[in-house]
Amino acid sequence: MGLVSIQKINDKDSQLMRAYAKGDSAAFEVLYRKHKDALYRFFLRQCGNQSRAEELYQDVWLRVINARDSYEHKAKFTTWLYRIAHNILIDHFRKPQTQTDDETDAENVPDDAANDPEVILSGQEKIERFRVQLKNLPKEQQEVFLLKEEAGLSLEEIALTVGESKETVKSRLRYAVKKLKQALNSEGLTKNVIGDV
Amino acid sequence: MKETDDTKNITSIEEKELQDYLRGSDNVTATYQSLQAEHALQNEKPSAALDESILQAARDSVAGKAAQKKGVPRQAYSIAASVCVAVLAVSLFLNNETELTGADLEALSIPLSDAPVAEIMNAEVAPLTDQNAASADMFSEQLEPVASRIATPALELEAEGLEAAALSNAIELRLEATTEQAERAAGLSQEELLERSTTVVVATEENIASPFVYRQNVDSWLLEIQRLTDINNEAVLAEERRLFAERYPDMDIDSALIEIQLSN
Repeated sequence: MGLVSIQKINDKDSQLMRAYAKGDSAAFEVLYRKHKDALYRFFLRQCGNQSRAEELYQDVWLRVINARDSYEHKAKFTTWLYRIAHNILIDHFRKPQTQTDDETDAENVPDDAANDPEVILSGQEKIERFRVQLKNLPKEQQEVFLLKEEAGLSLEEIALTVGESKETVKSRLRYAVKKLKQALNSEGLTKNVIGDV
Repeated sequence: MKETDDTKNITSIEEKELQDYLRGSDNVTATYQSLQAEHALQNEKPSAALDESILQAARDSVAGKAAQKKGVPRQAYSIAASVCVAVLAVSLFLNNETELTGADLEALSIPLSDAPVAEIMNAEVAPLTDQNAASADMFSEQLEPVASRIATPALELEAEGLEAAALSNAIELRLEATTEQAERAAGLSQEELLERSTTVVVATEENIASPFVYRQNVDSWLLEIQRLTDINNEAVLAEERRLFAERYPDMDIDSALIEIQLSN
């Protein structure tokens, strides 16, 4: 039922994109407002820098605008959108990184906290520990996790988006989940986190 | 063997964790959502200005495409306007090409007869008085080649055998041009000068043709001499008598005048 619901939403996204390609700017606005926050977080989590995230985020939408005529309904709109985001991110990581790019927005927490299971964590600390663990994931694992969480893509769709096989994606996701669970499985951590939410 | 079993156990555990995660039955997704909720308070979203700039870009892109579609007839209008301008420019160019400057007008529109007239006008500048009658011959010599260039009845008169001296005298007597007239003529425009010169040419023809008609007949010439005698025009009378004597050397003028008076 959930899968059918998602498919309907995505079908609607493709219709909106085609409507925009025909000149309906209001259709684009609906599409934009639906995906903007998730896409922004996708970049922010991986860049850790708000200005850089905004720059990459804007690049994605401008490419969508410019490519509206060439949009084909072969894949879900979301897959197409995040495929563009993936390519922009790859280009970004290939560029020489400056010190500013690696800085986060005052969210730095000592990485030791994520690797020390003996530490008793408060609710806020648990969340920060999870965030740090997510930040420290290898880029490939981090990306497939975010594509699953933010874009809601299936393993097949993630494979299409990053241009890898489904098994590769599955392996990356497996490692990512394992590390994140390790961060959560500290004493009392899981219950506290859920209780805080 | 034990290592292999351990590896299988680890792999199965990881696989189970993954399947739990994909089913949403573990706490990873929940924790991530709580992280997202926490950071939502820190404005973890694109700025309103960024939203607006992207939406504006989308609208502009659509508007630009619409303008491009409507631009086809505009291009046609533009081409048509360009053609019209080109035709206009070519026609203006051609008109300018046939347009004559002042020098061209002078060279092309003035008849040949105007050149001697100009010389006549220059000759008029010199005051003509009875005292410079001696220069009449010189003037007539100047006028003779000028007259030959004019295709006018003046040449016909010459062809009839009239003497150039008589012709020059007649012109000298009849022309009433003054220095002031010449100066005024110098200030005239080309068209006015052309008109004036034509008038002068006509006047010259009349002056040449009419005043000497009496010389074609002995009686009429004698009557003219008698008239000049009656009005005491000594200068002209002497010239007429001299010319008459040259023409009719065997005739006594005074006797002929008496006979004329008697016959009348």
